[in-house]
Formats: sequence, C-alpha cells, structure tokens
Amino acid sequence: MAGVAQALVLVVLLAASWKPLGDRMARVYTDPRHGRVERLVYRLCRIDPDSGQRWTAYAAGVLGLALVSVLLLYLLQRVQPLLPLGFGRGSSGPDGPATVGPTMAFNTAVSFTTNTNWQSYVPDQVLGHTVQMIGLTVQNVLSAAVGMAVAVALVRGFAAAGDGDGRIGNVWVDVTRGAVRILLPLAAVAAVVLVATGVVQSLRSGIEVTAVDGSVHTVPLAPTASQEAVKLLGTNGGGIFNANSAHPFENPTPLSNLIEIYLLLVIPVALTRTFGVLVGRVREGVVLLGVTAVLWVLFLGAAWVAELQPNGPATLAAGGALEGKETRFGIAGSVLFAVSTTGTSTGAVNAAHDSMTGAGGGVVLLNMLLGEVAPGGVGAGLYGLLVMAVVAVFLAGQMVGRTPEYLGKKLGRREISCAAVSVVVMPALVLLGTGLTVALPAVTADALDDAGPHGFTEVLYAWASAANNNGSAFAGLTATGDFLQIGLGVAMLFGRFLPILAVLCLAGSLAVRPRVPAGAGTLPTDGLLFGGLLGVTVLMVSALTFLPALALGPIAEALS
Amino acid sequence: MHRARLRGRTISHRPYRMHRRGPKGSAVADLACLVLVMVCFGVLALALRGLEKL
Repeated sequence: MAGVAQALVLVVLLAASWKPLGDRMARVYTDPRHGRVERLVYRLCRIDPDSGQRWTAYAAGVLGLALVSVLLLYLLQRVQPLLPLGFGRGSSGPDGPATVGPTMAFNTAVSFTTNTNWQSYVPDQVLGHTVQMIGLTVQNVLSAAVGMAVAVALVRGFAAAGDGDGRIGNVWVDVTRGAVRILLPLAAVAAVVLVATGVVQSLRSGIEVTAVDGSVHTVPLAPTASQEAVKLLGTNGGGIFNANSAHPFENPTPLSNLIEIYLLLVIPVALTRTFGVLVGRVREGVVLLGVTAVLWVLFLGAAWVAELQPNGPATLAAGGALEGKETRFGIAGSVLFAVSTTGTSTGAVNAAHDSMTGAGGGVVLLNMLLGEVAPGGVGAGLYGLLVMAVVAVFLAGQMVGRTPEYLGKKLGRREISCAAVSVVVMPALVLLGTGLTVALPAVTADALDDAGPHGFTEVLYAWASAANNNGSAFAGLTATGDFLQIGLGVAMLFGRFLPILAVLCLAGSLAVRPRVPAGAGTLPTDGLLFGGLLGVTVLMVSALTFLPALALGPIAEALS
Repeated sequence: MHRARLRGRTISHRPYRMHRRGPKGSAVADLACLVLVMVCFGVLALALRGLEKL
C-alpha cells in the first residue's frame, strides 16, 4: 500500500510540473533575447548567437564539442595526481599515487561525454573531488544540454514552414541556454532540497570512525548533493560513491528516494509539453506523454509483480525478493527507481539489478532495449519517440497505400532512411557486442562471475546499457579488462552520436519540406488510435529484434 | 570483487619504473587511446558525410 502511495505521489508531482516546466523550456528555446551570462559565453567563444545553422553545421558542432570533451576529460584523469583535492586517489601503490589507467580513462571520458555514466571504477577510491567537479559534473550538464538541443532542433524541423533554407537553430545557443537557463537553476534548487533530506555535501576526503570492535575506518565524503542533483536531472546516473543511490550519503531516506525518482523523470516528461507547444499542437505532446506513461506503468507493474513473487524459501519468508535491495526503500521504492532509471537514460541505481528475479531483471533490461523512450533521457527520449512516430506513420502509410505524413510534413525516402538508421544502430551494437563477448572465452573467464542464462544476461545488460547510454550495471560483470573498457566505450560513442547524426539529418530534411494541409487520407496523430499505434510500434520493433537474445537470458532464467 | 581487481593491478613492491606499464608503456597506451578516439570521431565524420548524400 505504501508503494502504491509513493507511485501516486510521484505521478501527482510530475503532473503538476508538466505544464509549467514544459512551457518554460519552450520559452527558453524560442526567446529572441540572450541573457547576460550567455552573451559572455558567446563573446569568449566567438560565437554569433543570431546566426542559424543547417543540420550539417549543427551536427559538426555537436561532434566537435564531444571530441574536445572526451580529450579534456581523458587528460584530467591522467593528470589527477597533479590536481588539488585528489587525496592520493587513483591507483595508489607503494610508490605513491598513480593516475587512472589509459583504457579506464578512455572509457570514463566517453561515458560521461555521451550522457551514459557507465562507471568501471570505484568513484570514491579512484577519483578526487577536482576531477569529479570540473570534469564529470561539467559533462553531466553539457551532455544533457546537448540531448535537449538535438531534440529541440528536430522539433524545429517539424515546426518549420518549409519556405526557408533548412536552418534548425544554433547549436551553441541551444546548448548554452539548456545549461544556463534550465539545468543549472533546477540543479541548484534540487541540491539544496537534497541536503535538507540528509544528502552529504562536503569537500573533505572523509572522516575516521571507530567501529564497535575498536578498529578505525575512514568513511569517504564528497560534494554529493550538488553532483546528485545534476546526475538525476540530466539523466546521467554516475554516482559519486560506488553504491550510487543505494549509498546512504547519496540517498538517505525514502523521501530522498522519491525526490530522486522525480528529478530523473521530470525533464523528459515535461519535454513532451515543450514539443506540443513548439509545434503549436499541444494534443500531439499529450499523445507522446500518454504513450510513455502507459509503457512506464506496464513495465512498473510487471517488475513489481515479478519482485513480489516468492522464488524460493528466502524470498517466501521475506515476502518478496529483497536480496540486493535496501530495507529503507523496500521492494516498491527499489522497483520504482529501477523502472524509472532504465526507462530514462539515467542509469543510477538504488538496488542491485543483478539480484532481481529472472523476470524482474528481464523487465528492466527490456525497458532499456525499447530504446529508452518511457519517457527516455533528457532530449534523447523525445527525439527517440519522434523517430518511432515517423516509423509508425510510415507503417500506417504502407498499410493503406498512402504517403506517410506527420505534423503536416510528407515523409519521403530521405526521412524514412534517417529514421531507419537511427533505429538500427542500437540493436546492431548490442547484439554484435554481446555475441563477440560470449564468443571470446578469454574475456568471459576473466569478467563473468556467473554461468548460464544469468551470466548471459549480465553481458547483454552491459552492452544494452552502453549502447543506449544508460550506464546502469547489472553487476556480476567485471568490466575492467581492456576488451570491455574499449568495446563498451566505442559502443557508447556510436550509440550516442550515430542516432544523433541521423536525427539532425531528419531535422534538416523536414525543415525544407513544405507544410501540407491535412486531407481525408491523413492519419490523425493527436488521438488514441495513433497513440496505440506508436506504443505497439515501439514494443514490436524491440520485441522482434531482441526476443531471441532475451530468450537465452532472462526468459530462460525466469522459466527455470 | 571489483575493488580487489582494481587494487590487484597496481599493488607491487617493485619500483614504479619496473611496472609492466611504467611511464613508457603508459605513453604508448595514451597514444593508442588518442588514436582510437580520433578514429571513432573520423568514422562519425564520415557518417555525417554519408547522411548528407542520402
């Protein structure tokens, strides 16, 4: 009952934020004026904020920013011993502190630049506060701002009258505004709220405590609340402690747990309203919201039921699968978090997903494999859903023999090709990566703790998490070997930017297409029929692609 | 497990220069990572060109 109450409070909070935040974000991206801080940024970076860009220039900007970010983040980790507030962290040995290793630094640099936040290191032992604050946290803001910028660029493509030269905005303006006007103010407020619930905020390395047996231990401290806020708001997910949101310094109470779930859902949910406002058809945004809400409720219900099912004497005695879950959150608080973190691209965890039942683990895995559209990452969820909407109207057009249209734009070969490229990248990376990993005994012998279906699920989950830029770990897979550090890093990079390129190409193509009035054969896309078609398309594309792999992993485990 | 493996990689009583990945080895690994990053972004730039011609 308490679990249902938590879910209802969460839904009420999100519903209350949907309109004000969605409208606010729409105003941010359409405001003709530039703020004082923004003008300073533009002047320093020699940017003309009033010049629009075609999709190729916009995409080049996204890639350029990512390249510089990866290189800087790599360098920061490698020179950590020279930086203040490092506390000798890194790979410390008898010869003093060393840096983060090259492949680990590559993996982490790519991970945080791509909004993935997959962590193959123990944060509180390997990284000092400086790298955390000026490296990882900065990327938590920037990568989220890039996601929102790409989504808004695509929406501009749909909203354009088609009589211009295909300009879809200015990437530097969109990224700066997303960071300065949306993420940073919200994160500042959220950090204070989290501190009020007991989340730690300290620049000290740690405190010494004496245990009951008289032994002295050092408990690490960190500037947690400030990182935690943007970790969740930006659907990043990288914890400052190894246990992530299961750690009592990151997420101390059921109240902080509920606030954290709200924070990771609020922007992706509100972006559906922003979309509706920007295209001048709010009902279209309501349809997208409805689809994500139905998928979220379906997955939440399935995971909840799976975790409540007695699956052996221990779970029978406990009343549910409590292994790997924090007792302060219980099954409800853990499942709510797990489904929300895998439905967005957050990847923060407050429980061990590896300890979920076979069916429960399969549900959160499938949630990622949908392409993270329920409701998806900051920006990434919206553009992922819009790409699926293009696929859905294409399928509907094939069924009735008419040229597909969406939001008054005819969809031709180029648009469908872009959507196809965007959809096919993730499954290709996941299936090729998983297949390659399990085909290499040297890798699995070193990395895997479990054999059989569960071990296969651990590998599949890791590649799904990387290619979808989720970042959560199923655990049980030691990803510190060079093969997985590099392989997963490359999957994160391509899983993020190849779909972004396809989405921006789609935006550029739509921007020059003239609007056509709705005719008798136009499929209405602002009603229940299209919502159902879109939801089924999302489920079918994912199910048809991944059913064989899921059968070898979580389905086999659940049935055994 | 995770932590033990991280530590197991670096704890050694040999002098730092004797490590399997001493300064010279690290420089080669750094260069390899840099090349990898450039190759990946090169592929992405080619993808951009490919989509442009679509």
